[in-house]
Amino acid sequence: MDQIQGKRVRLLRQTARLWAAGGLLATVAVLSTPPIGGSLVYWLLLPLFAVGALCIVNLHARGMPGWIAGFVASTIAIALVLVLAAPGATEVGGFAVLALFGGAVPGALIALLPERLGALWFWIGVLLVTAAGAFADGPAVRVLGIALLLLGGLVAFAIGLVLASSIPPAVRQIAEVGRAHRAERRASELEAQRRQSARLLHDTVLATLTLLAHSGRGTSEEALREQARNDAHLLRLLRLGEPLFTLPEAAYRPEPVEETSIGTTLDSVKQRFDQLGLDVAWHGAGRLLLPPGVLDAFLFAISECLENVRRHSGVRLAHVTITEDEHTVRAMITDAGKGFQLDEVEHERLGLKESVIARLSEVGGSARLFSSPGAGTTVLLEAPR
Amino acid sequence: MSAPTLAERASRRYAGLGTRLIWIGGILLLAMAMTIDLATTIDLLGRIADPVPILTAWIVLVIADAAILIVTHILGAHLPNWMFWLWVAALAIVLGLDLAATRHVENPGAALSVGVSAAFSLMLAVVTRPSFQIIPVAAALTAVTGAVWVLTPAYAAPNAADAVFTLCRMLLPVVVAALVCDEFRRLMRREMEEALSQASVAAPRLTLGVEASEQLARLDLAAESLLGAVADGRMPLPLSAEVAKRAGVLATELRLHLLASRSKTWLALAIEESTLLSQEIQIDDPSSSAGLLGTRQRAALLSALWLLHDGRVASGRSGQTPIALTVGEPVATLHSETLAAVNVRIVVPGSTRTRIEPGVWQHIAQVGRYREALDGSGIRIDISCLVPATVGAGRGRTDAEGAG
Repeated sequence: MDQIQGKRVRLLRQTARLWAAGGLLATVAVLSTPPIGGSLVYWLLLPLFAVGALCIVNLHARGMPGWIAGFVASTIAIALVLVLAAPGATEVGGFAVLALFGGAVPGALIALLPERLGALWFWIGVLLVTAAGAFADGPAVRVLGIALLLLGGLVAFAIGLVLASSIPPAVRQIAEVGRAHRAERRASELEAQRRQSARLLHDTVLATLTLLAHSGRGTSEEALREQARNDAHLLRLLRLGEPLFTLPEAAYRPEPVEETSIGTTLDSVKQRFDQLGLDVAWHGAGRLLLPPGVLDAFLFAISECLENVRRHSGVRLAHVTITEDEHTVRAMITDAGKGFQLDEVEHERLGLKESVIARLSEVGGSARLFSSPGAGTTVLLEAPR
Repeated sequence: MSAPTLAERASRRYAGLGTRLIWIGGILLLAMAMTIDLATTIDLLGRIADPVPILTAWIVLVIADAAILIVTHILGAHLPNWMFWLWVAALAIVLGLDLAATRHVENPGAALSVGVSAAFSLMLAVVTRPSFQIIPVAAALTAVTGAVWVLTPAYAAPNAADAVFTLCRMLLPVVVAALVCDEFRRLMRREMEEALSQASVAAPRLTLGVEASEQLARLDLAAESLLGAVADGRMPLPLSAEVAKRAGVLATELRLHLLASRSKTWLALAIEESTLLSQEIQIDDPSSSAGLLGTRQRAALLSALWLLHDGRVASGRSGQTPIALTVGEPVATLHSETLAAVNVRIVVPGSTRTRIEPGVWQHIAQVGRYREALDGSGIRIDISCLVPATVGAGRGRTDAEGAG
């Protein structure tokens, strides 16, 4: 509610400033025509206009009612000067009075509407300037003048009310849009998370694409087609939102005996590679509980892969993403480096492949290697929990 | 130009929000103005030789305005471009007919009637068009009228006061109305952006933006169709160089997404996705600790940032040195094993304590214990936010900005 009132105040004060400025401008424009324009009276009026303009500029500041009072006073002073110093210029004076008391003043009074007793003060102000206007207009046009000034007040009042009551429904509507957006956002976040998790679990899509990036040479055509079919199927299921498997959740199993925390140990791996000049960014689970034998094999495999990145990739940043579900812990080690052709570098990297795969399979885990020249390297390690 | 932000798209979609009453108010004002001008026309009919042009002008104006009313109503606060300009042309014709009809009248400045209503009719478009389109049109119509009076010998020298008053009536109400609508839209747009940014407070510690999610879905779809084509033999193996390249690009982008996109906190997203906030606030959160704050702390922090933003706009400091928001790593607290503290520092340049709205302090107090100090160029607010301690607290970096 508070918020709606704040917006109402801001909108009405800004409207009041613009409206009053328009009215004042019209007054100055009319008075600049003969016989008043350029005369002594005109120069006498200019300081009063300056005072009026100053009040308008400050209408949105603190002490707003005071500035409005000042503005009304300055307009009455302008009318007085006109009546006393230029009694012959009735036509110009009539227009000026209309623009001032029927336009500028009711406009400025709009700023009062959101305040307490604002409507009352608004009409007191309108009646005051209407009386002043009736006095300033000659008797010939007095009735018409009063009618026009009251009409000006009525229009300003109505517009003020319209603007004030436009805000609450709009704010309500916006709140609704916000709520809908929140739901939409949650859904799309879940969806993306699902896609990412699926990628980590069944990440053959990336590997297949990497093979295709190499025109699919060096692999059996049949096998590649079969793989592509499976991957397309997986992506299709994902897109249609069909259940594939349970999502990996960062759920901690309740305190099994003989398990070790991987958290601090991962830290030591990271520090070691930091010293060797390879920056390692960790993602995903910060804490894993694994049986000691599995933990050793897993850490060994990660270290081997990072060592490989450090030696061969040509980049100094590697990413390690760790995820887990009820049965399996996975680590994906990725770099954006040179990459290599899998079948060509067998000899060079035999050490890596053999040592990592051998070590992990001892504890029931596995390793998969995806790479292609220029496309970086990804190693996916899995170990049972 | 970068792609439109989420907030920009939303505010475009809901551009006409809440303007219905204002629109109706404008219609009533126009009806009033037209009544007055019709009286002038009737008064004029006895004094001009040929009433046909002026009556034609009235018919054209009524038809054109009615058409615009109906279209705006049907399309729901929307007016196609071509229609707007066609309508403006009709208004110009109306004004031209009126000027032609009142050529030889005495005091033409007071005789213009339907032409004034034509200019005033722009009131119907203030809710559907920005002021930078309305104001030039109103100014052009007014200027042409003034120029015709002064420059064409067919016109007797008009009474200056009458002429000026008429010109003011043509121009000023429309200008004021257009600017007021601008202000209304600005207020609503800011409200919309806050509502959208508040939607991010429920996110997990690290999250994907809506845009990143959409992009991932697009990449997946592209991969799916490529793999499908390979699978059913529509693409012969080995692949052509072009398709192979496409596969390589897809693989790289998917890999980047996999690594980078889960690395943003709700706060970074809230600021990044809002056009208004991202102009005023610079965030530095290397350890993604903002993600550790609870939902209430987040909502309060965001509300405080919005109020600070409003304060800058109100004081005309908008667009200058941005507010600097720094989120530190979680540190252990002395009193508790289960709680850690995340320090949030907000530096508001060029401000003092009294210039900051009281609401800001109320919200900040809900985020955590705070201290404020004058900092040479502005005010510095240090908030110590208590968050649940995790084993990972203080451990290595967990963010990755599009690495690789």
